[in-house]
Order: sequence, then structure tokens, then C-alpha cells
Amino acid sequence: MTSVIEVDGLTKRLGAQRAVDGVSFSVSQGSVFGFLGPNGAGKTTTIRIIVGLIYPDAGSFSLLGEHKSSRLHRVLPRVGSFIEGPGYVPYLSARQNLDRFLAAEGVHRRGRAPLIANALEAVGLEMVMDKPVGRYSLGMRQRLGLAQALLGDRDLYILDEPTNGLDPSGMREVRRLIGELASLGKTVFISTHLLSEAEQICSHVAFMSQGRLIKTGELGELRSGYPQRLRVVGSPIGRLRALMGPSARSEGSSVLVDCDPKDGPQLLKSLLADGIEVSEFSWITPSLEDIFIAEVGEGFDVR
Amino acid sequence: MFVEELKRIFRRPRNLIILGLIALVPILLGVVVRFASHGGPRGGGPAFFAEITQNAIFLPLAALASMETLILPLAASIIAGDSVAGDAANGSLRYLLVRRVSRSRIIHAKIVAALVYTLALSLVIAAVGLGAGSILFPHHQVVTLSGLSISFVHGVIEALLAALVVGASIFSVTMVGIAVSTFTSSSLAATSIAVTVAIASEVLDAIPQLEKIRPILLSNYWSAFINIFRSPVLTGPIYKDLLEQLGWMAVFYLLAVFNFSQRDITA
Repeated sequence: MTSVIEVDGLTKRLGAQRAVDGVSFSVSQGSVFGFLGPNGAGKTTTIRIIVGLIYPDAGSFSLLGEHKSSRLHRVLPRVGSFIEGPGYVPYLSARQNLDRFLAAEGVHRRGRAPLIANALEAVGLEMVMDKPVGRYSLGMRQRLGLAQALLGDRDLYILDEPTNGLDPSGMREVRRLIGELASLGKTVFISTHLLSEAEQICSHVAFMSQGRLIKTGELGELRSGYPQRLRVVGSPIGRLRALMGPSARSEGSSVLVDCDPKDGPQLLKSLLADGIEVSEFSWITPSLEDIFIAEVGEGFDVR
Repeated sequence: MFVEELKRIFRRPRNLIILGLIALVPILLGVVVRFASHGGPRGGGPAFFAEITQNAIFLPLAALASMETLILPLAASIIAGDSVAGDAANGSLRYLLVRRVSRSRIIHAKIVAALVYTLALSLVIAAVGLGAGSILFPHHQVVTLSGLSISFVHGVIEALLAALVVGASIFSVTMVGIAVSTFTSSSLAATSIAVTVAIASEVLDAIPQLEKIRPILLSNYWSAFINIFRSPVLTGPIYKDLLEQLGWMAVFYLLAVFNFSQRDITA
């Protein structure tokens, strides 16, 4: 599959700190790629390099096939970006702010109004489009930032923490928007520290920590590399736990143990044969959070 | 991009208030001289101050002379300091850059727009001063500083020319502000530095022992516009003024363009 973003050995030092340290990954066309990691992991710095806002100290990258920072302007019209929060002139309205971006991009005056209306409608700001942005709430500003990224028809959307500051319904709306973009065959590169959010929308993920890329791959493949967890509810619970082996642990009224799914039927048979009254016997797929903690360790800012 | 930058400047309430307040100065000056001082000002004060009651033409010129030393550099510095730093601070700079707008186009649009605003400041003073002067004072033939008479229309043209020269004399301060603005996300810091440079230049200009360095001080020829009102016009000091402004502008233009093209946009 064609790669829309290729990053190879990217390194960037900000002050004394190595913000990005030899990061390499690739984003396939049509994927929803989750760029995951705690705050300060180097996600935004990597994104800023990819879109040409900052220059790398070492390594290379390509965006939609363009390798040179100085020539990124050739492909940037095909990219919708939302980077580290919204950017706006506070005394201009949402409409005037978006018009400014489109005019700077060279979009003809007559072509701007429908693009602006569509983008503001997509994020639910059409009713307040003429109000100065300085009077917007935090969530409204975040929506305006997303509207800016959605202006026009793009092949790739780079969204850095798009749900920051949004209420639960706003977060659901963003997930729906990303789903719609993916269904249209667009590539979405989304950076977030919210693993539960990423789990719901991403087809591929990369884990970042302290400037380094820890792991990357297709989410299903990553999951298959981790043990499935069996959850059994039955009584008597003491005997049930003893029968399920030394690694089994209780959690409320259930007993959990990591085991191979193909061993499941045999285990169930033996439990029943030993007189255990089994009321639930289910498999728990490892969550993205489980995988992340297994790869990166505890201390992740999970919400 | 240039038009968008002009819109950004002229739609900002603060910038319009600055223009409005600056427009008030020649009106207040005219009213005070006309009604509050019996027989008109006698000597002293900025250039053309003593001549205000003689002809409408002298009101804008006196206003320009009195505002050139502090208010105009301050107003120009506010816009220049905000030019890049303001957009960097509010985040809109990064969204301009990720929309295929080249860094060169952005910085050049910002430079030209800030220079246009600087010219607008002095032209507003001239236009309002001429209007107020025409209401408050006689508007007949003008006696120039050389004692010769010129028509009122000729005088209006020379007053507008003087405003252009005064505006251009502040260009160096504007360019210093823009250059500093490319280094920071703080508009206030960039504005403060540009104003400090202007005031420092005027202070150094006033110290007799520093006569040798005067020709390179950006404020050294700020009063050159007075020579427009000589017959014939004394062009030497005006050319020196413009040449000096060009020199300062060239240095800070290169600094602004170089730094902006190399700088990491982390704000």
C-alpha cells in the first residue's frame, strides 16, 4: 500500500532535550493512524517537522511523496492540519479567520464562502460564524481549529490532539467526523494521549515515549501478539481459582487468567467435570491500554 | 496575502483606536491654538508651531513635527512588533504556513503592510490637520520658510509630501520592530525594543560629544521634511533622511527575512 507519510531516523533537539530521537514509521494511504504517547513524548514535534514548521537535526521524511522541507508547499494543499490547538486572530470572526487562511492559500474569493460554510457546519459553528473568536468558549475554539483543518477536500488529515477541551458529545462528534473521512478513503493521522479514544477509531498505531518510537503496527496484529485473558464467573470461587492455575487472580466475583484460546474448551470441560457451577466463560481482548503499558510501562496519562 | 495582512491590521480595534487618537491630535492642537491662546503661540514649540494661526497648511505640519519624535515611532512599533509575534502567539502563523503559504511571502506581506500602516499614520495626521486647519484658520496663499508665496493648493501638495517624508522617516523603526518580532512570540517585547531603539537614537542625537556618530542615527534627519517648505525645496537633507532610512531598513530587512526563513515555529 502507498505510504503518505514516511519518517526515517528523525531527530530534533529542542534546547537541551532530545524531543525526537531517531523516530521511524510509515503511514499507509487510507489508514487511520494513531500516534500515541503521553504529553511530552515528542508527538507534536514530529508532526511539526512533517508539515515543515520546524527543521529536523537529522533523519528524513516524506509527505505525500515530497521529501524536501523547502518543497512541501507543493503537497500541503492536499493536507488538512490541526496542530497543537486552534490558531486564530481573536478580534476576527470564525468566517473572517477561515477566509484569511483560504485567501492566503490562493483560493478565489467566490470559492471561499461554500468551503467555509461546509467546514463550519461540519463542526457545528455555523450559527456563531460572525462572532469574534475571542468570545468563543474553549470547546468552540477547538471546533474552529478543526473546521480550519477540514477546509476544502484533502487527501490527508493530520490532527494533533483534536479532542482536547471538547465535552463528551464533542469528542463523539470528532470520532464520527474521523470515521466519515476514513470511509471516504482519506488518510487520517491523529495524535492523542487518550488511548480509549484511539482504540475506537484507529486502524494502525505507533507508541511514542520520551522522544522515541516504541512500537508501531496494525492494531489487530499488535493485539494478536498479546495473550488473551479468560474471565470465568462460577462457584465455589475458591475452588474455581485453584483449578484455573497459579497465575489466576480474582477480580470481584470472577477469576481471570491469561491463556491460549485453543485451550479454552478443555478448561471449561474440566471445570464442569469438577462440579464448578460456571455462569460466565468469556475472553477479554487486550485493550490498547494493556498493550501500551506492556510496551512502554506505567505512568501513562490515561483518561 | 498582502491584502489579508492589511485587513488584519485595519480590522483590529486597537489599531483603529490608535489611528483615531492620532487623528484627534491635530484637531485638539488647532482648537487650543484657535480658542485658548490669545493672539496665537509666540515662538518655542515644535517646527511650524508659531505659524499655525497664519495658514491652515501649518496645522498638519506642526502636528507632524510634534508627533514625529515619540507618538509616531510608538504607534509604528506597536504594529511592527505585533506583525509576526502576534500571529505566532495566537497560533495563526502555523496555520498560514501549513497552507502552502511560503515563509518568504508571509514576511514580505507583513513588512509591506506594516510600512503602509506607518504611512497611513502620517497621512491621517496630514489629512485631518488640513481639514481642521481649513475650518479654524485662513486658507489663502502660503508664505514658505524662504519668504516666498505659493498657492494654497501648492501648499496642500507640499503638506502631503511632508507627511509622506515623515512616514518614510519612521520606516526604520517599523523595520526594527518587524525584525525583532521574528525572534519572539511576545508582541510587547518586540514593540518595546523598537521604541527603545528610536528613543535611544534621539537621546544620542542630542549629545554634542557624539556628533561623529549622528549621521548613522536613525532619527538624525527626522526634521528634514521642514525643507519641503523652502523655495526652492531643499532636497539634500530629505535625500539624506531617505537614504539613511534605506540603510537601516536594509539591515533589519535582511535580519527579518533570514531569521524568519530559518526559525523553528514552535508557538
